[in-house]
Amino acid sequence: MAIETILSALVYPGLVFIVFMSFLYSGFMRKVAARMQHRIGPPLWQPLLDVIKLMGKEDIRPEQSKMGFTFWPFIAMVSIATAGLLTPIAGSVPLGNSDVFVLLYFLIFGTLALYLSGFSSSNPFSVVGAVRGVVQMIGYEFPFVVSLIVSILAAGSVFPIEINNFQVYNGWISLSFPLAALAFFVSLLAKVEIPPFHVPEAHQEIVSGYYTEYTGSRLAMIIMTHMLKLFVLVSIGIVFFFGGSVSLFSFLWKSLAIVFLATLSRVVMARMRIDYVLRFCWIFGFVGLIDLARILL
Amino acid sequence: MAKDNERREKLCYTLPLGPQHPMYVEAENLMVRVDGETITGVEVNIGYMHRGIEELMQRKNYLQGIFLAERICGICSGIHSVTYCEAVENALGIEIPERAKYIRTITLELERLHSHFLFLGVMAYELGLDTGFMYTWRDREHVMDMLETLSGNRVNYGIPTIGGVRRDLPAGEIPGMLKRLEHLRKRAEHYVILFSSDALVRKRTLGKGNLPKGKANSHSIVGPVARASGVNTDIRRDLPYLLYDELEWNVVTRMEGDVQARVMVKAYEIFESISILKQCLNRISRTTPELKTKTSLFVKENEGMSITEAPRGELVYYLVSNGTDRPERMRIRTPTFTNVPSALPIILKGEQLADLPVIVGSVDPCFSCCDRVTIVDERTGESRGVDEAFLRKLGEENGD
Amino acid sequence: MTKLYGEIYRKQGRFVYARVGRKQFMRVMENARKKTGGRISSISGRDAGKSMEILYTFITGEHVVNIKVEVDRRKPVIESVSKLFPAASLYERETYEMLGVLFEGNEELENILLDSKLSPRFPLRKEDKHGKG
Repeated sequence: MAIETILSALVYPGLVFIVFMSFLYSGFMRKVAARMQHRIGPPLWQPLLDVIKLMGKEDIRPEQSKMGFTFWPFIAMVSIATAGLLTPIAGSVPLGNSDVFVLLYFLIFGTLALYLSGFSSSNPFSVVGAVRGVVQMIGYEFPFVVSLIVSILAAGSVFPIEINNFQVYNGWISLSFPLAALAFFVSLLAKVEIPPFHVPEAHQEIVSGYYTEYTGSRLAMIIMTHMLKLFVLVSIGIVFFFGGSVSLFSFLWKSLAIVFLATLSRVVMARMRIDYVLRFCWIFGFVGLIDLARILL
Repeated sequence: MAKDNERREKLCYTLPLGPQHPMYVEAENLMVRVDGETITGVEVNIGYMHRGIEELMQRKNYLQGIFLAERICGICSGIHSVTYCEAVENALGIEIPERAKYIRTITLELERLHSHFLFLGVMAYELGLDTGFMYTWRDREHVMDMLETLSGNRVNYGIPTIGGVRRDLPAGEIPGMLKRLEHLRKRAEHYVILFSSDALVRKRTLGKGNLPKGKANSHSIVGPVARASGVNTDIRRDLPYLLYDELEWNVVTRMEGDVQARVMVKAYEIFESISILKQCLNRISRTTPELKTKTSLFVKENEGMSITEAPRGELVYYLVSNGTDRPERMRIRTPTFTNVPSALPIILKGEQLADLPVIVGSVDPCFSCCDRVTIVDERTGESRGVDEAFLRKLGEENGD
Repeated sequence: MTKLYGEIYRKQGRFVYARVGRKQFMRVMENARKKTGGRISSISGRDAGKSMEILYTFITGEHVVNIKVEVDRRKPVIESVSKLFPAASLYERETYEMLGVLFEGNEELENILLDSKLSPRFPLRKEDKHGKG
């Protein structure tokens, strides 16, 4: 029993699987975006090569950066990875059977830790990026939470695994509540900082935003956190809205479809200014509230 | 109340943008005074791309000067070399053959095309629209291919020489070029639609970075930036050179003076350039094959001047000759030098910091053109250190 | 045109060159602006050995008039036209930094391109060819 749990948490559908899939989604996104832009694009395993290269580089810590500079990226990565371990993947949860609130906690904490990395840098560009990131959070948490509540109420449970099974037996929640699903998708784009929401990293304006000062293994951690975030949100999407999954195959095709839609947004959209982001996300929050009202009344 | 003011004070600071910044192609420094997210003032510090061109030209002969002039700027290298040659020809008092005029015009208009497509791509990039950048630059490759056919090079064409041009346009290339131009025209229509009707682009360009017509006039703003503010000036029409008074084309102006207007002026100028090119390509076969007027490189004591319309505005070359084959004085006044330090403080004041790259990009600054003059003093070694580093950076960034 | 711009000494293509004395200079510039509404396109300085020549390139519609003023080389001072033509301030700064001509009335007269500490003073002066100030 114990060995099965450990294997499940560490290998499949645990850490190894999660990490592998994160790389896959990221590579898929870059390749597809390149093709849409009439380029050839990097090979699918490019993100893996990037991370490996970064691990070998010198990890520089600026003298004037605050203490958190060294550990926030690590905490962010671990948090998001834990959130990944708590979401049902292809029908089974890698680690335990907790409710959605624990999952959300790790997700939000990890995102905050990422922006705290920006705040603990000594660079004004990082601070501006981190501020924008936090403001963006205020924007998208509203539609995100609203959409999740709709899904919870529709499935009648706060345990992700049960919501997953509910969908498998009763059909896609997004078909009954499309507005909530739309709100969720918009908040997914914002959470993973995909255009039009790539404000915190607006590199035309603020170099690299909150991760300007990072190099080496810590930058690798930040990049990994990004990729993991995409994976976690796609899994949440499948579990809460897009029909759940019990087989690896359905998990794969559904997640690639969502990633493809996200790539479309990345390629087509220009960047929003941060104040538009707030307004835009909140509009979708209210759109999601319509579905919430429907389910409550 | 006092605490509020104190907090206000803390939010007012000066943000130094540059000299290195992903926003710029070349190194410049903008000291931006901000109050929270609103820009209250801008100080433009130029001079980082200084290379000593005016002084160098005074030490080299007129033929070598052509190649120096070309290398002032990567994007507008052709117009610099042509204007230089025209200034020398003005001092010599010679006329160049008809065919040479055609080839020069073709080179210049092709360059205007590539510069404007580049600008559209840079604007898309500043707006966060990476795909727009990729597409416009892909189309720009057609122009680069045409330039390569004509001159053998994508940048620094080496086409004009004192008295004419150095290379001929092979007649067999013309149908291919006409086809490419037609393709580019269709693509340009697509970009006009993109920049004028995409909701996000409109939101970030309409009404931003306003340059009132009065200010544009009083500060002598030149080029597309001025034309976007309603100033009806174009050297190709006002002081025609080469063939511009014989061809049919229009000056593009807009009245609004915002970022959107500047983008539209450049986009529509693409159509005008394509029209001029088509006319030239169709008529060049009627010219005699003479490419160059024979002339001595020793220019008698005289003054020479030429003014042309570079892709970014009016370009002035003034030369004083002294009977030798080297200029006594060569003075170059570029459009960006006039526009950027004057216009940027006006159009950025009161705007949001987040809009800064878009607004700065819309003025299409070419800082290499801005700073051309200093002296590299070999004895002290101090100034050499500064220049070497920037020359290296120039070499990395200014190749195409 | 002579009355407006001073003594015209050369006409080459579309370019007209006129010489103006130091004392009439400001009046000529004011008149030119009032009568034609043109603009200053460029100010070029030149070290002419015994004097400094300053050339004001003035564009009015279809004419380009180059107004040349000579100033004493040992004390190169002239009135600034930046109040009449704001754009001229930039060119006056460049001429100042390259040749050391003082433009009276220009409040922003400081180096525009060169670093004041690292670069040699007035590099375009003939005597400065070997780094002496």
